[in-house]
Amino acid sequence: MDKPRILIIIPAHNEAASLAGVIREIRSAVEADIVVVNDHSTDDTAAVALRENVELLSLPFNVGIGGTMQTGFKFACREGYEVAVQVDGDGQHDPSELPVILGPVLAGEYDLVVGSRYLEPGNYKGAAGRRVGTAIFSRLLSLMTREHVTDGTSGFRAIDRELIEIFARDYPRDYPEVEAILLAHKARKRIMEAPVHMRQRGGGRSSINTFRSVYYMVKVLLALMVVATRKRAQGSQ
Amino acid sequence: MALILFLFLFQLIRKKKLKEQYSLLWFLVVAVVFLLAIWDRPLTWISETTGIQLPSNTLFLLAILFLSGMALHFSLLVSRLTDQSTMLAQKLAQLDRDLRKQQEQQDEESSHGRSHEGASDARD
Repeated sequence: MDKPRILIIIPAHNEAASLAGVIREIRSAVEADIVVVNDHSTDDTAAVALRENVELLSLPFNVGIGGTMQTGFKFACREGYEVAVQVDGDGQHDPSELPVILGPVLAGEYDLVVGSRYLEPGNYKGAAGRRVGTAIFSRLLSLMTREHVTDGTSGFRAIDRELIEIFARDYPRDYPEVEAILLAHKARKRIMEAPVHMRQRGGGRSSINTFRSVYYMVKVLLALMVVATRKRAQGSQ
Repeated sequence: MALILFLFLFQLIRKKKLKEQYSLLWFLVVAVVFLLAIWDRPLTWISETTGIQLPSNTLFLLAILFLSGMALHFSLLVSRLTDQSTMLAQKLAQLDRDLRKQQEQQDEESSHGRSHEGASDARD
């Protein structure tokens, strides 16, 4: 059989400063097609993507990270890719670690591999508030999925063909990372975490501030509750 | 009061700012307000049977219930429209990319076929 076709999806909102570097790093790390999903950037993100000669999907207005990723999943679904990987455009995810994320999916051992910064000591762990939030979600996720989840909010992840199809149909709108793991669990997919290092952002601004993080917490908790009850309802049928 | 409301509503519909679907509902509301203004028997009757002291309070209660219902209805509508607009945006991004690819292909073919003729005006 041929080598499975891999699509690297880079969601980008005003990441012109770091995007070219990320693309080049990906190219030197793995053999894969790259699509930049431009979430209505006001800077040169689209121009950078075209100059680097990667696929470009430009959204006509801001749809948030969930809608942006789903645009990529739909593209992967239509173009027949077997594996899709999310790599953020801000340089936070280290493309040289792509093989770590990709390996288990390519080997057919797991369907969703999430890069976790907490599996190895001594990593960049992010701000304290973020750490607490991540810990809470990860505990909750571990309880609900009975899997060992340490970094449920990580966006650095690889999925198989079936999950591409599932996410192309239905993907959470904003702050989708935690909910997506639960959706994958609901679809009875095999989930694992792989140790990665997160870097300081190469450019751009983090979308998280105090008010937003409170909103984040409440929104994700609510979403988890909704998905959990939906699951039970389906199980009893 | 009811009369002014009615005229205002009529004006909105005439200018096509309001969909007929909603205009019917609002006309119904105006009709009820109009009716209660000239004939308050139903209001006093409801107040007496439910033990509400002032008929005006009954009116307020009904108004609050109605407006809450409308707010919920509009929230649902906005949710649906947001979903639909996101789907449209994603489709547009996809089509935009397909068109660009097609154009690039055409440019390539034409530049191969007829040397450099028309290569400059094929750009967007």
